[in-house]
Amino acid sequence: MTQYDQMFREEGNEQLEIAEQALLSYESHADIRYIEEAFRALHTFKGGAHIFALTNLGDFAHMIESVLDGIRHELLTDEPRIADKLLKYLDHLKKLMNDPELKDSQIQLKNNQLVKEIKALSSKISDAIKKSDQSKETALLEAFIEQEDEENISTYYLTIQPLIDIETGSGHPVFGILDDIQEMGDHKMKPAFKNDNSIVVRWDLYVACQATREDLEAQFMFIEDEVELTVHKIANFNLFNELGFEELLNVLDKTPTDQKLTELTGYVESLKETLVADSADSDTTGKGSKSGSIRVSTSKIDVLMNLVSELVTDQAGLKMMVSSSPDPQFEGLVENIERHIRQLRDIAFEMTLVPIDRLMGKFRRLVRDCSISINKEVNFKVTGENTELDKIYIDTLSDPIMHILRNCLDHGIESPEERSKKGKPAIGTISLDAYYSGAYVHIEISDDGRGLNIQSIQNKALELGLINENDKPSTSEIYELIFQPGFSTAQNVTNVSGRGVGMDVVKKNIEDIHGEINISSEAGKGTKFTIKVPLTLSIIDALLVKADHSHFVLPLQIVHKCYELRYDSLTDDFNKLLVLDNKQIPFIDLRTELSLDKTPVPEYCNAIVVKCRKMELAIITDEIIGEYQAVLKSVSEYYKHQEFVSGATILGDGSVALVLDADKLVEQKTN
Amino acid sequence: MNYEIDTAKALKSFLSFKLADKTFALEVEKVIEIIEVPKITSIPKAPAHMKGVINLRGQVLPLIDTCVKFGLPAIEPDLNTCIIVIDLLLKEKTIRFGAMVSQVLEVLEKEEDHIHASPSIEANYNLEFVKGIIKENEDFIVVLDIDKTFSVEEVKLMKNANEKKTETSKTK
Repeated sequence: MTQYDQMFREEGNEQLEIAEQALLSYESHADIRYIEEAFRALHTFKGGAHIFALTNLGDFAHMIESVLDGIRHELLTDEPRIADKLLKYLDHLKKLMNDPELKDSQIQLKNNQLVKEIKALSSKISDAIKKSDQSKETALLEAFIEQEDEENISTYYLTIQPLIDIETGSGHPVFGILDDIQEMGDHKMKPAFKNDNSIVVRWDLYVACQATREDLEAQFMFIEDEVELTVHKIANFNLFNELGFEELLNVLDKTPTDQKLTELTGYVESLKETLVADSADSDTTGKGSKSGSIRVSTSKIDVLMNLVSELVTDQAGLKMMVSSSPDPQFEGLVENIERHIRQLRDIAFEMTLVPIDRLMGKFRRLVRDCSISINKEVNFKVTGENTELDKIYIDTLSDPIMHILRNCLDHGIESPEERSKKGKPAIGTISLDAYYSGAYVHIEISDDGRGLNIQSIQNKALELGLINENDKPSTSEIYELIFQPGFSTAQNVTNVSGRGVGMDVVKKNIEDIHGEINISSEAGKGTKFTIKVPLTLSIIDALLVKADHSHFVLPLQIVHKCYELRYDSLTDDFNKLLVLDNKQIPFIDLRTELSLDKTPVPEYCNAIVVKCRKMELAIITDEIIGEYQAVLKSVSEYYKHQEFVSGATILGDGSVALVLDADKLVEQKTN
Repeated sequence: MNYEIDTAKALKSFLSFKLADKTFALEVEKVIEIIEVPKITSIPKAPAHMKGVINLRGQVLPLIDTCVKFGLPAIEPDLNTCIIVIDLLLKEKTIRFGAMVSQVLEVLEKEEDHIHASPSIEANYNLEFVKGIIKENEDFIVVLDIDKTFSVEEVKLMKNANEKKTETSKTK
């Protein structure tokens, strides 16, 4: 039972979060769609709660649901700050999750009080319903909300009639197209043949997929002279999930072509009727609750990732073996395995990615609650919320970002009076922007507040003894100071931030996942925090190179271009600049940089132009061996100070190659 | 230094090994396995005793040249050279690493009373790393305190020392 309990808890929390998110959106944008979203989430939650006999939870959710229902039908338009109240109820529901039996007397008290409040609200609604007599329509609408899958699946009926003779097994492109369509979702296909031989007269294809009618028609674009196609959309949901559809299709095989469509529409109509009838006792869950995803524990995914990593390494060994004893058959096989492993790797990797949107609900709530508690009005703008990050990163980043947001609100944004005095809009803006850049994801958090005060940071640092009086730190060095433990310049400690714990932890957390954080600020205009975290952490596409006797690996994402040049052209160059494609590019010779001098220098070497820190840099290596799927392994804490090594990977022959971090190489060089 | 030894009357096992021509030992429970020397990938710019990394069945294992660590000349791997794989518990984290030694000898079983506190006179080695002394056929074998010898902090110290050395040599 505990296992199921855990499952409910996870899913329940998720649903509550969705509801919360929707309500927050509703607050800023009074759109009825958000209410419907919250309604659906709570409905699912309620179903789950009842299954596990958590009646208090279920009942409370039901009450919120009825209030939402009222809003949805615009019966509760006069209620002030309704979203605020609903959020309060949701919070209570979250608390109940930990104490569903109402053992704590405090919670019980609160529960009774809130229940009374909601009942008052819902009685208002039911009065209104009676007046407007919309109940029948309501039932209909509800039924369709349940039915309409969030994935927008529609069912299509396609007939394809060849205008030329097409035999089965003739390899005509139409077969490929039909296969493609069938892969889109649930399907059933029935070909009809010209009396007994293999020439096809017509295909009847039923498919339920997310594609639009235009998508389906486009599939046949190139052979439109050879076949005649008709596409009918028969339902805006997946008929394959409905009772009796399969049977109907079997019947349809025997009915004449021209009557098929009428049969189908008749069936769909009958479905709609049963739906409305169903909704009378719509409290039973089930319909439409099939979703396209399953829950998998993260530990299983970790194991999967590890196994894929091992496979990638094994495959590299196999590839090396085949190159030493070429055998065309064996070679083909190895190539196939390589392709499959790459696909497997990509899919396994994708599974660990989650959109950063996952965190946004929490952030929106935080900004909203904080701004209310400190009497500042703030507009929170989010862009790039679909940017995907490894789940581990998402979890690690949550706290640091929360902290930065709190700081922006508390220290950055001024009070409305102060803002209007400065000629700024009274409502402050905090924006969060996430985007990909090369091998990294950037998350920028900026406010339009007062900016960092260099003078007060410096004074504080002096006071704490972090800097000396004679020091002349640069602006960026001063900004760095706020990441020191115990640093806070806020005159008053508020309950939001300003206790001086935090920014150092923020920096540490981010660096733990090999990320970076930077600050830029302009007095009076605002502050911007940029968090940069690597996109991947386990397997990367890379370039395998050789310098002296050592192998190195460079992430392919940063590699821009490769050139071959004479090694001596480097040595007579005194300003350490290479001219490549009429551009001057600074270079780093791995041999000199890493003091590798066991073998004599080659006559020719390779320059690999990489992009890092917005600048281009050429890395000089002896030889480029080729593309390589590198499984990243840590080189342990013993090598923490060799920062230009971001990890290691095991090559096909079992030796270890180091993964270079170009950014750190540059940094080390400039320092 | 007066190191107190647990007085429980039990046999304790030690693995003895050679660094150059001197014999040392360490508590056997710290040892995971003993392997031959595979291909070593050196890490540029690392301190001298940090020999590099090796591939231990798909795991990247840092390798320490124990001789260099104790101020002896670097090991030139030969048939006798072995790597002792050790698990070290550091701040709730286990770090696994390989310690390269000139030769692995045997496992010695000693009663607790045969383990003596390290004598303060013998100052050839940094006594901080000595856990005790055991007697084997009239010979004394130094038992190393693994946790201290190979801690990451220690590595850092060594690195600083190296840097200082190079700095002074530069100024000369």
